[in-house]
Amino acid sequence: MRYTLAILIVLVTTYMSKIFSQKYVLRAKFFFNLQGFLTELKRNIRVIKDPISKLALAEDSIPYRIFQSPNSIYEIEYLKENEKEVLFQFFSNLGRYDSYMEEGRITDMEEYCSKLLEVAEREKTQKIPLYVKLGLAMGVSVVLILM
Amino acid sequence: MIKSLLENSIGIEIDTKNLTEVRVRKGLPIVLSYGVIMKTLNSHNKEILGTSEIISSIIATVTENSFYAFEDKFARGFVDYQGAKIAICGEGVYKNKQLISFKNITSLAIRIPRAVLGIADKIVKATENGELSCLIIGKTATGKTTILRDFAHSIKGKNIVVIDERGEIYLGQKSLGEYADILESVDKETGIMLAIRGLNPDIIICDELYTYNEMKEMYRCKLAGISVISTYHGDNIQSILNSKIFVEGVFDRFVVLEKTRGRGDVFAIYDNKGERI
Repeated sequence: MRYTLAILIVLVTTYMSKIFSQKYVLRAKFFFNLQGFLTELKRNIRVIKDPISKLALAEDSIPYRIFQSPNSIYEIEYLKENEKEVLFQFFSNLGRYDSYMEEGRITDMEEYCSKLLEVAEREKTQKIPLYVKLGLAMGVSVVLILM
Repeated sequence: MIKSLLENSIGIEIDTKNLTEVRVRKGLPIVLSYGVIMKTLNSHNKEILGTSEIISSIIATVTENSFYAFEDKFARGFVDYQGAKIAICGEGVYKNKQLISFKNITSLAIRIPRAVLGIADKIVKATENGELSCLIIGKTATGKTTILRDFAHSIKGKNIVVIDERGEIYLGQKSLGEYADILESVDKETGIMLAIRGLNPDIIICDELYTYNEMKEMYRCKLAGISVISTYHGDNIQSILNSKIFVEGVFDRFVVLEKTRGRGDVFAIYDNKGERI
């Protein structure tokens, strides 16, 4: 019984730490999706010139939802405040300019997004194992204290 | 539809019954045209001025928040929005000496075309039910395009090809009748070639004759036994007869419109020698 409880405690703390580390997964996924959205948008502006609503990626993607309602960016918890501000400015003016200006703005955003994706990927690979280890250590500590 | 576009952008109720044109100019009163009657848009006895916000809002709706996707159309003249024609004025953006877009938009012209049944009756008669070629001459807003639309609708039992280069004539198949085929967004020269080769037309209808080459293509139609009905921007018959683009023998009738009582007022009809009938 004692051993079962000890294993359960360790599993719960490890699982909790895994959940806390999910923000790193979501951040990387967000910037990856955003980069895909920007790439497709730029290709569309250069060649096809369809409205943003007709982009293949558009329907359910988070970037498209932000385009439809730029204020919704402030509800995304895993983004930092300065990132939210930059993205809000970008999305609230998206689609208002001619193709040359749009392309320029998208290129700038791609660079910004690419850097953030790189950082997010690095954080993901470094911090998720760290969180898991911390959770495990915390579980073991709790078990030792209790026993 | 156009009512909600205007009301949502301007923010007040607008009577769109018989509305034919809206002009939104930055810093100036918004002007509504109901046929030949023009009036400024008022709310509580105060004129509503056009603003950047109103212009941006209309453009954003019309372009589905994707201006770049419509810039070519704006540069070519206008964007079609649920039957209305929306044109913009502003600072031109050029690439290789060609106008490709606009920025710093200062005004909008929204034209609401309407099918007016019976407006082409005199011209149908003058062309002997489409047997003769005819050039309709008139200034802006004299109803040239409306007449073309009704002409196509009025002719029965003949194959008609409508070449709608700028998307101004076609308001749905019903507006053109059951004998018309439409070539939309195709230039006149290509359209005439396509029509002659593949569509076996008795009559070709096209808007706004503008170049000598277009006139030459129309002459080919004439030689092929196809009647041509077209329009020309001018205020009298001399404006086409003295024009460099004029090719003798293309048209059998010239109809001059004037803007006095309303759209489509026929002022005079001339034969192919320029003699008034």
